[in-house]
Amino acid sequence: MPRAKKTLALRLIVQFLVLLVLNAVLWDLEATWLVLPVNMPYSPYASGVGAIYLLQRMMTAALVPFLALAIFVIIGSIFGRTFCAWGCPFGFVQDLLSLTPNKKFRPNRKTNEGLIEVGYFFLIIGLGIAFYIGLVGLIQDVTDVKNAFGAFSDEPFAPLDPGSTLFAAFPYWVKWETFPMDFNELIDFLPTMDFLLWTRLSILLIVLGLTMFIPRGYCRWFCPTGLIMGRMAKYSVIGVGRNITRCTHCGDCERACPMHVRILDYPGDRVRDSQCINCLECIEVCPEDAMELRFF
Amino acid sequence: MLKENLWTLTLIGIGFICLGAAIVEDQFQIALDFIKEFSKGAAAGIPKP
Repeated sequence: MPRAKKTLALRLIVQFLVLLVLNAVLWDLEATWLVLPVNMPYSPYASGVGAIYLLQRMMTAALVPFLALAIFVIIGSIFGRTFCAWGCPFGFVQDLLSLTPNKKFRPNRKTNEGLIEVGYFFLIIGLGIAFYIGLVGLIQDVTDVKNAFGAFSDEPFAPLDPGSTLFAAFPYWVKWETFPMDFNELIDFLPTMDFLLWTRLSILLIVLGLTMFIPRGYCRWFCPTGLIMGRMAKYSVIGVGRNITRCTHCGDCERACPMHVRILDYPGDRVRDSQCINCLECIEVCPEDAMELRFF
Repeated sequence: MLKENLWTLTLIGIGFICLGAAIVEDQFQIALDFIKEFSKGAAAGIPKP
């Protein structure tokens, strides 16, 4: 498989810097209103947050989420899913894990499309819960409804989102609760963990484990931010394009693509695919310089 | 091509309308308050993520 080493290295550096900026409270800096279309939960060190978390919080607080929608629509229609590749903290973790030198699997088109639909199903359920809680909050006291939804009541996606477990829940457990970091204590602690904690850790471990075999599988199929931005990416100002007069259909671009976009299926001009994250790795590996960054 | 560009411009327009509404509703402050609720600054009363 051809690898765009320079672009990947640059991307990892930028992703790491964004991770530091979004957790700047760790360095005793002030929290800001920075909202980006990335998978960054409300962590104990958050100086910024992902738009999907703001969207859920505002909906469950019975507010119209204008700011989150503006972030999604403006950034999505200009940059597409560029932030997924260059700024997402959970994408950074997945990109690191996909560097393992084992064989990678490429699900076929039908499986890919089916799993995207499963992702949309969860997206609709999650936003539906947030909308319902917000609606009830407009009419009456929402305490009982929130109690009924429990951990899902403020941010319906968060309890099952591996990004939230890794960046928000895990640091919280370690610092303010009694999650042991010592191996022997951990073995004693595991049987006492509640069901939700087990579920969250299991999902996190499964997703991270699968990432080593299917790069960015979570981003492609289940990430709510990615699914929303994917709708916008098809119409974004910035995106990659293929020069059909230079292209020899060697397929290096498709093999290098971490999102497994079927670039050659697009007849020419722009690759308007909801999965394209503008990582630019196809541009680096193309031996004929047929792939390029395009505007409109 | 033209159809895609029209969609792009429409989306950008909708986005800026939402941004305008967010500014009017002071949602930047609300977003900051939500973040501060969770950040270390909240000291002992840190809500569980």
